[in-house]
Amino acid sequence: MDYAIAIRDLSKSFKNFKLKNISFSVPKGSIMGFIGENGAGKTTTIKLMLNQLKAETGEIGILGLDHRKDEKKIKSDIGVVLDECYFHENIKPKHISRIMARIYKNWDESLFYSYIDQFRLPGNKTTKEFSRGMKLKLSIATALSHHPKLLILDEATSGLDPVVRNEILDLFLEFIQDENHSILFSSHITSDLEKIADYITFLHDGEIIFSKSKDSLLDNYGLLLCGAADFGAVDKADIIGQRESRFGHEILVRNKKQMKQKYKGLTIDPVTIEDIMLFYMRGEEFK
Amino acid sequence: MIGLLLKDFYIVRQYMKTVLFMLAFFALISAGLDNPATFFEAFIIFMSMMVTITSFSYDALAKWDYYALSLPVSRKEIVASKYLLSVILCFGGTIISFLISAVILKFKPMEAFGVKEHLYATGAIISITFFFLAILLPLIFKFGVEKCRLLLIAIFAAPTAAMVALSKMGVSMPSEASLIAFIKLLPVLVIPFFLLSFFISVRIFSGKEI
Repeated sequence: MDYAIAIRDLSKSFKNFKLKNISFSVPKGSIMGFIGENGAGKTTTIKLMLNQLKAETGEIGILGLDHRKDEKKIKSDIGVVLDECYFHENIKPKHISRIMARIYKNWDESLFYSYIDQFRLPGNKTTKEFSRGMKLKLSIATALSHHPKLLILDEATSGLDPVVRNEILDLFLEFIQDENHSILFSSHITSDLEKIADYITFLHDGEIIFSKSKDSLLDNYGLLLCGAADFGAVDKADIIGQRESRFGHEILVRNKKQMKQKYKGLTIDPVTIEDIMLFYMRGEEFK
Repeated sequence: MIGLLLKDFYIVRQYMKTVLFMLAFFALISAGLDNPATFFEAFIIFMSMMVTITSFSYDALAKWDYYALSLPVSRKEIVASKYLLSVILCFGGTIISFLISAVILKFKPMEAFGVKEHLYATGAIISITFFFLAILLPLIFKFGVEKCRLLLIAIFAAPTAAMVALSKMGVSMPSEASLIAFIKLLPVLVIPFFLLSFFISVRIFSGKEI
């Protein structure tokens, strides 16, 4: 399979945080959801990919090229939207177009203005007057207007209202229609990823918990529901994480079908990506 | 790199308008001074340098470096664009100020200060400006612009303090002839120093984690 991103054994340590030998890859033509709590290492991973930080170990291949040797070639073929990183306050969209036309060889001015129209952004106002949502839309318009092959999005939909978020998710789905296009979409809004992602990589405390196709995750995992009495009978090895409430226990389990056989009489509910993420994090408390 | 320069031009444009307004104000003040031309000229060139530094402040505010490094521009180009900006602004400032002070001199001529002396003075001022920039720019790339604001004062205060100390110690001011010889020598000293500063900045910025 061809990969848009292939990361192997990547590590980086800071004073209070360590990214521990992570490996994952994004198949060409797919959307990879990159999830994890704040501080899990998502932004660190992206910064390493962009050579903003220097990795201690590991290899990063982007669009089949080495991220250090072919940095410029890679960067002219990717579009990046970073969290809380906007343009200068006294700059206008029309300035951005003129600047980018001199930075990207294949900058498409008419495409940029068509996004500006589509997002209903005022082309002649400084970004100081823009709301957070408008600034984010401007960043997305900029990231898309040089015909990139890969989009790297760091929290690109957080802070947007549901209507705008859907509008933007549709745009990403449209982008991915071309089979040579791929997206790495880091977010903690898991519902967005559930809508559009093909794969999910879950990063927790600097480690990859899993990197799998979304459908296999939703097929594989289940929520086992039981009362306090039955809880004692559940094999501890089967519990990934659990939540206790007035009505009993909810337990995240793997191999849903096998579990159905093992715990006959107990209900197993389907899960969401958010459940998986939350229960994994709770699992630590449980251990 | 042209894109980066254009970006700097857009972001400092507004600030430059403020500077021009201040210049008009200072032009009025300097009319009352004994040596209005050189004072005014030094002021303009100093302001050109401040505009360069301000462009760093705006970049820091917008977290621009973080974004710039996702674009197809190398770290060397980012550094080069700032050095080029400072050269353009300072030469631009020099040309404007030379013309304005030439007009001032026309109306208020100074004794023993003809076109030749005027050119020497201008050359001295711009050389010193580039000398300061050569020290300051690597420090900004290393420590960030906010920490360098204080350093800026130190950099300006040090030569003044040295001059005062020297004259207190009884070292007399050099003669006019040797001063002019020194001014002629200045570009030969400052240009390599400025280039060296550029390579040091590239080194610093290439190793920096953003």
